[in-house]
Amino acid sequence: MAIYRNTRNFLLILSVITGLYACDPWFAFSPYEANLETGYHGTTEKHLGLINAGDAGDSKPFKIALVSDPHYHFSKLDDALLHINQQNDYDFAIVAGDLTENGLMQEYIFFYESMDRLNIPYLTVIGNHDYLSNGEKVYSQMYGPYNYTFVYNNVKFVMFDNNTIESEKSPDMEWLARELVNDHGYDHVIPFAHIPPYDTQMKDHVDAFHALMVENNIRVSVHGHKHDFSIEEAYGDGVRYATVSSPQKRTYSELIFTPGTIDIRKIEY
Amino acid sequence: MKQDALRFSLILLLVLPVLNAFGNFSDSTRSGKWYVPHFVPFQFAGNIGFLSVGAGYNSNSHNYQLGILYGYVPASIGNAEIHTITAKNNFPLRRYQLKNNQTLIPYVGIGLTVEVGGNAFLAMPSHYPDGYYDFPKNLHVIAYGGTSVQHLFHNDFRFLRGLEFYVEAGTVDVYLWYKTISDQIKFNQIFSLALGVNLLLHK
Repeated sequence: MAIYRNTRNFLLILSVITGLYACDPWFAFSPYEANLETGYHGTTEKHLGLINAGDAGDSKPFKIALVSDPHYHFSKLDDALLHINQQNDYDFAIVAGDLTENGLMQEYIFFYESMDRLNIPYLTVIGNHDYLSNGEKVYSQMYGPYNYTFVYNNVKFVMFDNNTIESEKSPDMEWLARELVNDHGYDHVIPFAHIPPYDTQMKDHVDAFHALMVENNIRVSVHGHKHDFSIEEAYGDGVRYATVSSPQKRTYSELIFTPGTIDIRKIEY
Repeated sequence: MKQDALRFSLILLLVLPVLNAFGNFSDSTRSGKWYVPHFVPFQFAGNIGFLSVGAGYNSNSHNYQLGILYGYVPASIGNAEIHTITAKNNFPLRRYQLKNNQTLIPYVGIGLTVEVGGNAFLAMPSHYPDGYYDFPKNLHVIAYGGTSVQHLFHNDFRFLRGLEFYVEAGTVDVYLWYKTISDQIKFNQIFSLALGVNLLLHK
């Protein structure tokens, strides 16, 4: 046949076939599909297992790394993770939401594969962008529940979904009220939620949220969403609201726990 | 946002030639109405649905094909029911005659796909604050390249003059954008395959 007489065309076809064979996955049905491969499922549970394995079971100073709002800044996220790995003194990391830009399954996979380069386990809270498209379905497969708690070195971490606009739901304030109660003599109870309470998304819940902080003597509440590092006593009553920077600003944060203190710092790299 | 600006530019580049091309479809040799398609495409995968079906048109000079397809992903496969409308613009690169009734046609294409009735939005829902997002989330440009083998029947069936099978590899605007800004993302992660057949109708 004419086509095989032409070596260039033959090589072209061969390279196209080889390229096609390498597609991963072979077939994609829509950017909005949410049928995540099982290998990516249950990350929160897996990482909680690793974190629990390192839990001293009692008060002990420790440091964790905080990242937020990576969206599509994959290279900058990789740089942040490399820097975190190099420090070698964080027990685990938390990503404070907006893991993706559009909530697309492929974006979740790109994020997951970046985070896989981290030498320490990490946990997440869901961000408002992560709800876009069918993102909440992908999130629940890849990570797990939107609200969950765990205890590490006698500090209770309360991971809370307080997105309202994209999620089209109200935050589960009753769950939050139950989980913020320090009923086991924890050194600290510390909430993490993507949206800071003074943001538009929380306009119907800011008073209730802040009242729970005051009532439960919460010293620091950690958020993302703003893309910049900030820490402020927004209402002048001892509750500090911190926001963690996006890697796009080439900064991340660290939280340093001692039995009596919580210190949060911006790290530039 | 940079990503949205890129997508907007791509869509403009895409829509303008398509609108222009509509003027070139009036085929004087063709009986019937202008909207009667030249071919009926059926496609599996390719970022526009699990299965897609539609209507296809050839330009007079046969150097451009337009396909308008409806795509569907059932919830049992996509974990969400997805409906899409897609305009595919194919540009044949060469035509290789394999036999007197078989032609191999490598082509490239660019398309616009819209998710309808899903969670992604064209216009921002009313409960979003003004300016919260500056671009629709349900609109994507797709880019692809492939090869088709066109087989014309010796004895025409009543409606069918031949079949055209194709395989193509394609990607979506945002994936391509992410590849350009991240070395960690590999080409094989952003490209996937589509298989299809065009039922070639009589002129």
